[in-house]
Amino acid sequence: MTDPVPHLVLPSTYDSLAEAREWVAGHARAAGFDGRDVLDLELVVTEAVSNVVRHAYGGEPGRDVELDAQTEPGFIVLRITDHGEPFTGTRAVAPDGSRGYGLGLIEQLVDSMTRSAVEGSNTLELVKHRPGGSS
Amino acid sequence: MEYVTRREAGATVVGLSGDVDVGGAQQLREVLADALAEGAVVVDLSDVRFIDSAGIGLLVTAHRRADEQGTTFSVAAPSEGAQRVLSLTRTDRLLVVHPTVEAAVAALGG
Repeated sequence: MTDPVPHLVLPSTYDSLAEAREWVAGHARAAGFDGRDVLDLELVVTEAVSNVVRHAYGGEPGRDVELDAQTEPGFIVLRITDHGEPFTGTRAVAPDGSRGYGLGLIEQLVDSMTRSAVEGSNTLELVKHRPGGSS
Repeated sequence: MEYVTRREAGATVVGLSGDVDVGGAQQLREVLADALAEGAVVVDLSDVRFIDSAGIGLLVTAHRRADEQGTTFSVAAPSEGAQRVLSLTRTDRLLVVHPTVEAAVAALGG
């Protein structure tokens, strides 16, 4: 039997960010990540969920932000799923024209980043390997 | 996020603590704008456990506003978590970063 992948559903507000960080940090530590790598994963999930709240849902509260944390020997897979507007590739520029740092941060901190938009669900899948961990 | 502001040697020292994320952005924006209205500002990052790109973006905005006003804006004593994000965003090269609040205040030149 394979254990089910831990799953968390949060409301689409910035108030969810602290819980998202705590949840991801807990799973990352359980998978053997520590120190800076846990902090990096907290940053990754914060930026990803912020993007969902601001862009996919346009600030609309009460929608679902779904998180999955799949831990494997040597790596972790985070999936952030929303049911709002799909990513168009232009969101890295904020509405006020300023350049956001969020997407660039995510790209720097994970080993792979995959987007999918299937039947109204948008998923950002992020894989991060544990330093020294086998994969 | 929590904050404390105090006046020291003609500057406003804003001490941030805890997790600074986009959820506290409006509050941080106002705190920094109020501080800049008084003149030179030092932001103490020593008790910041976590900061996201929105928090960093507000520090950069404050830095630019200070330049426009002809005043000084610096950050001091970044915690490990804060330093990590300053480095990743390369804003440690854009902002004025001092190792301690004392050094930041001393750099104002009295």
